[in-house]
Amino acid sequence: MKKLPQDISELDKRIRAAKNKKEKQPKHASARWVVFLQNAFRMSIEFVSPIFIGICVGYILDKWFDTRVIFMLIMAIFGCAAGVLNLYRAAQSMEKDLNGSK
Amino acid sequence: MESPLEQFEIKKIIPWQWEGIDLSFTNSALCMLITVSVIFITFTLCLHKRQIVPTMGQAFSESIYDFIQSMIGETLGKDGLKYVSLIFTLFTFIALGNMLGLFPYSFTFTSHIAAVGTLSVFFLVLNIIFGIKRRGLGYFHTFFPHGLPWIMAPLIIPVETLSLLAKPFSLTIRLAVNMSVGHIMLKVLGSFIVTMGIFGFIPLIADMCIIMFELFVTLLQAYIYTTLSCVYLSQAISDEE
Repeated sequence: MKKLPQDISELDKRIRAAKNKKEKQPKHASARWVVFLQNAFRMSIEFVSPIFIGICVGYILDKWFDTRVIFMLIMAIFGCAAGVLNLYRAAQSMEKDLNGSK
Repeated sequence: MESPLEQFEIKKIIPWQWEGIDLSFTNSALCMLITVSVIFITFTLCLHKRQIVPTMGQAFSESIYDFIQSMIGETLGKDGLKYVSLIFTLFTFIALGNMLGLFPYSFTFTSHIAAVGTLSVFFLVLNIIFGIKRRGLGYFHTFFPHGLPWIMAPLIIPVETLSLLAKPFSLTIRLAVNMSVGHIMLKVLGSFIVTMGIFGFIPLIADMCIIMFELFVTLLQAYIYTTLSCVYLSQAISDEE
């Protein structure tokens, strides 16, 4: 087993140098694959979930005001808009991550 | 033969009714309790003697902590480091809950929309509280950004509200569905091992491969859940609109 350096600041320097070296290394291909898989999972559900929530809220409002499917339709359209907005935001954050990792 | 969906059935262990509300202690609650106990005991044992040169247990705990810290650093920046304990708890709870569900006669509480949904809604409420604490009333500009004409309010406010409400839903569905599907697949293939007789080794090998894949999925899903929670938290506390 290697002997520990007497001076703790020297050890700190060595740890920092090792960390910097590690950070500069490009991401492993498998790590990128996990990120892509995560993005694929995210994109699909980010779009669908606001539509579902919109339909649920619309259904509750229709029951409440004793109307037919008016609120359900309106909220489904709002849900589509929210889904597109979510996709746009998710794509923005992914682009930011991609540019950051380059 | 048992249905593949029977493994998700909630069974009462200690029945308890209070004012018409069912507060029974179920197999789901027992598994959550086991998960929390395992996390608590593991980390207490690993970290009870903290040393400069870490033991294997300490190195293991520190590596998980370091992983969460770097994940928060990437999504929330240096300001997010105060949330490390919250995100660490979330990650270990979900990851271990997913993994314990792979044991025979165990119960996967993360496959239940009610359990994961409650956790996600709790996290959404925390996001709102942190957002208001950090940005004050400016948090509500998330629903109606600066500079937009007032005439757009009836369009933008419902869209932004639905977008916010969809966050816990998307987190919940992603985790619960992935966990349920994997377990159903395991059970279906497992039933073929006996019924196929001498050729039962074919589904057995397939089942073994799927168990390895499921082990990977349990960690991946915990990672995705935690990363997205960090992203949502960063959206709530960031000053950008």
